[in-house]
Amino acid sequence: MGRVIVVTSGKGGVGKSTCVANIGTALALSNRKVVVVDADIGLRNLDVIMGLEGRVVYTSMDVIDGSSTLERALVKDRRVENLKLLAASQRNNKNDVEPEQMRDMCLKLKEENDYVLVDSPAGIEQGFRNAVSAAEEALVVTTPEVSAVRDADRIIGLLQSEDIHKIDLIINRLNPKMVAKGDMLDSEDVLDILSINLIGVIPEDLNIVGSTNRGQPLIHDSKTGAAGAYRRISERIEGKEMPIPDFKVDGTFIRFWGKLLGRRD
Amino acid sequence: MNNSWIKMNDESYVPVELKGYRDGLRLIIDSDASIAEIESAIKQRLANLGNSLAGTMVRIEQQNQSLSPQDISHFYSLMQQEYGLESLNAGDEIITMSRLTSSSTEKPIQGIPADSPGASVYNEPFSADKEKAELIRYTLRSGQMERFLEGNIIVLGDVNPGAEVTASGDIIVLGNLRGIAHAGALGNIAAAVVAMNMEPTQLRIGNVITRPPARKRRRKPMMEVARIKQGNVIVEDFEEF
Repeated sequence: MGRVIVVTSGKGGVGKSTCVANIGTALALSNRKVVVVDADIGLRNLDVIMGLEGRVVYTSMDVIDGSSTLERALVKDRRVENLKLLAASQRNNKNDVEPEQMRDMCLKLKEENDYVLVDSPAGIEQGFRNAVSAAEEALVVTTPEVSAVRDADRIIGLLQSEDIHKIDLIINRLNPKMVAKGDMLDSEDVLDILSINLIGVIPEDLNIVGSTNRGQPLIHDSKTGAAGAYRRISERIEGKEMPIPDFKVDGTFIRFWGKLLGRRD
Repeated sequence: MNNSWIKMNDESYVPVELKGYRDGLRLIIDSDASIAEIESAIKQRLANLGNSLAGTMVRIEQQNQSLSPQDISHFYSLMQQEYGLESLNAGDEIITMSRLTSSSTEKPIQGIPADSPGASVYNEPFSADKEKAELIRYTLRSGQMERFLEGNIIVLGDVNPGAEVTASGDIIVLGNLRGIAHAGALGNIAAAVVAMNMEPTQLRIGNVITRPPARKRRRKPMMEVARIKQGNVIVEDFEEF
């Protein structure tokens, strides 16, 4: 019996799908059986990010209306053993799926796999309710921006009211140089508001853009930067205690020179 | 350290008064005022409360029976349509103050009179009437709202940006106050807001709505109290209180 984890954020564009693709791949690389589920029905993109777009034949919608079995709808990732994708339909919209239907599918997947990662759509409407319907735990993704943090806070409240209490936070796209200049919130500022467990900080990494466009999760090609952070998050999900590296080291240095030059702070 | 906050509206005398009871609100009308005066007073009274009263029951009371049943039902429908308040007793709308006080053993929830200098539950814990308080044991996150119109609210956690607490009495936040707090929501301008770390988006006391002046974020949060002094919301260190 595996774990169903929903990856959600409230705000769009903070990196949910990229997190799902990379963390899912990292878990599969350490020999876990993983299914990633795209719950963003009508606006699918997890298959694109994972480079599996051309191989999608059936979607979760086909499973729900009975035109495919669940097993047949799963797309195998050829690069890594034990990683499968359940794609979302592009033709339908979020209201065509009921939370119970999504729940049934995830519970079936959970029986055969170690991890079911559900990629939630942005927003707090039915798509969100579908995505969380089967989840027992959640990864909340935010960027260090006031608006994203505000939405993450709202989402945490909603998850708690859905009776999900294991909620971990991922801070994505942290730029240590901007933090040092005081132009970006640091992890401490974010945690001060959200006050939940921090499971990882992903530094801003321009390689992500290329890897997303190529459909090759960064974790296949790199061990440093964002890829390293994804790998560490997957190990923490597995229960390993690992310190979160301090991305401020380089920032302290800048602040020191800033002081000497008589700038702010 | 005194901080005069930026006032966003003016309060003045209004011929209606709101009180909170377990079964809902009572709107007490000074019947000497004209219908138009009462109507604008109701609007003024309720407008500041925004939508925080939607779904609450309300009952109209008047000091003498000079208002016609048509007027009364007009006021009920006004309150329902504009602010979502529900009529507490649609059939039996007219209750005079004398009848109510003789038949009711319930005491209204009383705030501290605004004009009594220094009078507060904190300075006189034994002589002051006991008051009810609602205890909230969790952090209020964005979009969440707590409302208690029978007394005070104590939050054992934070009030995050985008969250809202409303009480007819005082509000005490044993954590960070970063959202909106509305103390004295039924018009008690002697109500206070106390927080371990006072950084609200907006602070409302009685009818006065304020937002904090732009100030530098302090390194060390300290317990502070906000209350109305000479018509302005003043935030002070808690020990000076």
